[in-house]
Amino acid sequence: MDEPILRTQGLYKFYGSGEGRVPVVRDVSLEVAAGRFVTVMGPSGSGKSTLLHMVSGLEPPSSGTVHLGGLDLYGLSERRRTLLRRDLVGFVFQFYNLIPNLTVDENIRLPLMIGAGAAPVLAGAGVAGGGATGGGDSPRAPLDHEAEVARLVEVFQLGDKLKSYPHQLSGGEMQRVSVARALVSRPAIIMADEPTGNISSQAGEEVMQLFRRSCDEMGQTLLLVTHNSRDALFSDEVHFIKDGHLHAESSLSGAGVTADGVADTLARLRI
Amino acid sequence: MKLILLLAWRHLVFRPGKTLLSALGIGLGIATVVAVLTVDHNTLLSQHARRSFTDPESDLLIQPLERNPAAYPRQAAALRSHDFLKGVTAFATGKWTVRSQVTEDGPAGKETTFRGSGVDVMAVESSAVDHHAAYVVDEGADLDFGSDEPQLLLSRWVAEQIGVTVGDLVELVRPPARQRVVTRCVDGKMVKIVPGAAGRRQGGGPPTTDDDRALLFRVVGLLAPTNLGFARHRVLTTMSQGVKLFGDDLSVHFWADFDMAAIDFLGVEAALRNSFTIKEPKRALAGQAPEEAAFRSGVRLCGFLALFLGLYVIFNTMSMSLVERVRQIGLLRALGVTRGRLAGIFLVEGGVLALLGAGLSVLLAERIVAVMVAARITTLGFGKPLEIHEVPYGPVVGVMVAGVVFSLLGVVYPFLRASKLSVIDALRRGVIEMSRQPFKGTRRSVLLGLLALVPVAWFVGAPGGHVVAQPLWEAFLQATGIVAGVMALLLVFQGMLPSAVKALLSVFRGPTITLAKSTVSGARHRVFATISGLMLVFAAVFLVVSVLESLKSETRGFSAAALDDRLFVKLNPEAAALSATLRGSVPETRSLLPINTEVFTAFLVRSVDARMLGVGSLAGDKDLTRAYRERPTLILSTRCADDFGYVTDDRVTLVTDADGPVEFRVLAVTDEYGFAPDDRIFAAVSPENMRRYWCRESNNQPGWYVAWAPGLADDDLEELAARIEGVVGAGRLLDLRLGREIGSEYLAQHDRDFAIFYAILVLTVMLAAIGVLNAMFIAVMERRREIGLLRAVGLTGGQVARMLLVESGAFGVVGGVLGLVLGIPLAIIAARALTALSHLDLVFVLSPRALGSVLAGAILVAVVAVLLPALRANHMKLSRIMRYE
Ligand SMILES: Nc1ncnc2c1ncn2[C@@H]1O[C@H](COP(=O)(O)OP(=O)(O)OP(=O)(O)O)[C@@H](O)[C@H]1O
Ligand SMILES: [Mg+2]
Repeated sequence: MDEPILRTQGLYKFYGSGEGRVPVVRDVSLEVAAGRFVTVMGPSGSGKSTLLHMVSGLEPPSSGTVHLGGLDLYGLSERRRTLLRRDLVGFVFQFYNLIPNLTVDENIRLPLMIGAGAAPVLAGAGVAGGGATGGGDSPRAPLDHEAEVARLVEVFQLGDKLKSYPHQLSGGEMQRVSVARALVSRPAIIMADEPTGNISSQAGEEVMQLFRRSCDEMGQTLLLVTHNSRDALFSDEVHFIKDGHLHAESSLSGAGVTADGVADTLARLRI
Repeated sequence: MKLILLLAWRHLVFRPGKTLLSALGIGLGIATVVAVLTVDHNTLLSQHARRSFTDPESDLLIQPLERNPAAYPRQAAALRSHDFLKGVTAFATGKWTVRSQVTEDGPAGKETTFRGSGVDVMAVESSAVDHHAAYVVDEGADLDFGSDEPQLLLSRWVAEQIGVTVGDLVELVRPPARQRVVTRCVDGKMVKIVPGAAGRRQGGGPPTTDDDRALLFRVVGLLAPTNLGFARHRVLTTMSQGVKLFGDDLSVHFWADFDMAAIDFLGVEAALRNSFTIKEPKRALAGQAPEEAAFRSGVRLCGFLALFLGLYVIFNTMSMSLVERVRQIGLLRALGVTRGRLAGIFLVEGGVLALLGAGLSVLLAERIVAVMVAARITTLGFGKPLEIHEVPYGPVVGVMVAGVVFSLLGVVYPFLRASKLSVIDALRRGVIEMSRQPFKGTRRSVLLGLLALVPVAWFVGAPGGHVVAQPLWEAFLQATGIVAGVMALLLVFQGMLPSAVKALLSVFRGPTITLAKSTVSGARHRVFATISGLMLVFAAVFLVVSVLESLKSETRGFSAAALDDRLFVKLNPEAAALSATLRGSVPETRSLLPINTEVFTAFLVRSVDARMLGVGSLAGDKDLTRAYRERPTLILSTRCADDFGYVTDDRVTLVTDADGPVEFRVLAVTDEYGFAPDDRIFAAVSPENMRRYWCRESNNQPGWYVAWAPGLADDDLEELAARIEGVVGAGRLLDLRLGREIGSEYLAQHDRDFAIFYAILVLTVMLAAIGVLNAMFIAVMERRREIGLLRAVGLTGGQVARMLLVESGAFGVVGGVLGLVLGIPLAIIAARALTALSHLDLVFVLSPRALGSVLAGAILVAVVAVLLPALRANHMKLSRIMRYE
């Protein structure tokens, strides 16, 4: 198989120092193949967000390596890491993190504005560009941004909120805006931190379906972090994390990803 | 780029209050300094503009002590050897008759004199016109200083009188002897002397000039009626011709300017004292008298301080406003914005603010200057002439650039800090805290660098040797060291400030206090910026108030010696004749003695009756009184002695009218004698000596008389005043003042003179207030969620406001106390520097007024500045807060 789009090895993260130094993520090795929809499940405080931050280049690990798009993420300069993030990753934050001074429309377009006019710096990274493995879109093909924005606005029913500012939105609306922002530039890999945490189960299901479609139709890769087992059912693989440790032996994949399978594993791991 | 502009623009527009405040802070900081620079520049220009346009533009008129025509080249060379003297120019004058040339076939020569005693023929060196712009040639050419041909420049009036024009030849003829009679002071009598008779007493040299010999000169040009040409009867020639023309009568004087950056007037006087005397020094003293020099130094130092404080507040304003946006920085970085571009966003924003501020500063500075002009506040004290002639664009632009640069530094510094955080840290924390390791961080390195610089600069010495006066330079270094030291201490032990605030807050109880305490420990950056800003500004307040108090206490000392128990009366000439009668008819006026006769040598010399010595500290010293009356002796005022560096028993050479330079012995140094209500630098000589050496009579002159009766109360003096008025008649009593009144006028004058310092201080205090305001606004913004939550769970708006007030009040107390801690050593340094600079005997006084104004001021500013943010917190929309982000 091809080089996985994301690969981690022996990832550790400690917080605090001296006596209070505790590992939040312990020895996590994980591979995500391009075009796959991968979920990491775990209880609150298990280190999910921390893991996601490390693999997306937002927070350096205490030890271990992360390869993203074939590049050693933390071997890169801060600048190149940032550009890699810009070109490769769409991130959905657990706490939406919208920019208060920008309208909904502008918040959604933010990644487009950031990338505007800039050549993809890491085109040589092998997997750069949305949907390289499927879909048929060539890397960074002149994407019709307007159509993409319109599509996302339509899907997320944000049409009448475009001119609103974040503080005028409901929690679910903010959540949707932040998902739309992650998708708008068609990044090769989407990393989502509990994207359904604040929305109704129906809206949550729509978001998950959209992710699924991005994966199937556009060939984008998805890395989802959640404690919601229903979300996990949309994915190709499910990994379980507890106390910062990834229980690789319990991972489910393919046909194994069923409601019962997930429930069993959670019960077995006493999550 | 679009993104950069969009974000910058939105941030500026969506928080108009903050934008305006920041711009105002920057603008006010710049405007203060610009206004001081402009006023200072124009104060000097206005002083300059007062110079009479009939004189050459020269700072000094120097007369050699030795009056020997042959010594002229040596004297000139001696003067030119001093680096600080510029444009040393010799000149000499004499009275001559000018006659148009008698030609063989033409009419007899017309001749002209002026008021029967010849016209003023002045011989000058070329630098008279090159350096001093002493004259302007209206028609024809200038004198050819290189040639030996006898040439003249005539005033138009002279030319018309004798009907000559450019190119003609004229004759210079000595006026007949009777017209050349001069009066000289000989043994206390003015004696008429006919030159050639008594004039050449010794008969040493052969008579060089045949009295009636005519000397032929060519008229090369006519003078414009300005400066030297303003006198109608003016004739100019070259110095080389003058030497021949005046012969033994040659009496050379010199014009010269001095380099005011290198030396003050007293320095010049001291350097020349042995062979020269400076006549009419008052002209040189525009902004140069020691007190004035010290005053201007003080103002400039204060302006410098304002610049420093302004830049500090600007820096903090900008940096704090960025601190609250760390989350945004984190988010943008998470989304793939590189640091470079991020910096772009904030620099654009900061740049716009800074330019806005700079623009605002132009308007503000214009207003401030207008107010100062209207209030007659100058950098030479109160009430000096002040018109705005021009703006010193160089320094003004420099200050503006510095303001803008510091604004941008204020943006870059926290930005660098913020972008060092991991993206997630930035997102989570939302604020940056000061680094906890004591010897790291930009701010620290800057401060420690500054600390290290002080000893280095100390050894290297003042820039350019003379650009800054040595005492000022030392004071500056000491002050810098102390300020940097205190700031470094605060940074190294940065827990101190929050702890102090918390300890203060512990005095109070209640939930709001608990909240205030908790927020204080979580906001070191804000606490540090706010308190250090208050500290610096109020240290400056303390400094100025203390110096004023020191000055006042010095004045009180002078009052006690020279003013108390005295009555000063100014009589018109007829009444002056009555003064002797007065002494008889109003018994207490026995001591009503004239102090009205003055001559000006290097300083003011006033005749004071020896009977005055019967009162005061010299009373009873018979030998001294006799010496005062009979020997060439004088009594110096303390300031005169200090300024010119004389002590008792020194010899002071004064140029007398009778005998030229004469050595006078200093009998005593005291202010008790000879003071008239306008001058503190004087020497007292006896009327006998005044007559003997200057041929001036004390009696029957209009002017000031003093009645001095120790132990007389004010009431007695007033009654005495009434009786004197009764005897001489109201119309003839020109002025009458109680010594004590004059003393309080002096004190009031200090207050008025200090208006400029207060103006600067008020502006910097306002600046500090804006700094606090900004900090507290940021505190409110930072804590909006927390505040919202507290409000949601039942804390009233009033309680929130109280929390902020209490917190800010505590900042005020700590800032004020630290201001004192810093201000006291600074004030001591300032008093010492001023003593060295001005020869005033300033002693640092720890005045309750200074203490009180600093503490009360700091608390007031902190509390007032928090009102607006408190109001804001009170009116925050809960829904908005809780949903935000
Ligand atoms: N900056 C930090 N300093 C100290 N501890 C931290 C820090 N960030 C996270 N932690 C701790 O690390 C652990 C894992 O946090 P993380 O946010 O990864 O959990 P999570 O699995 O995402 O939980 P949730 O499902 O509630 O979001 C938690 O116990 C948290 O307290
Ligand atoms: Mg989480």
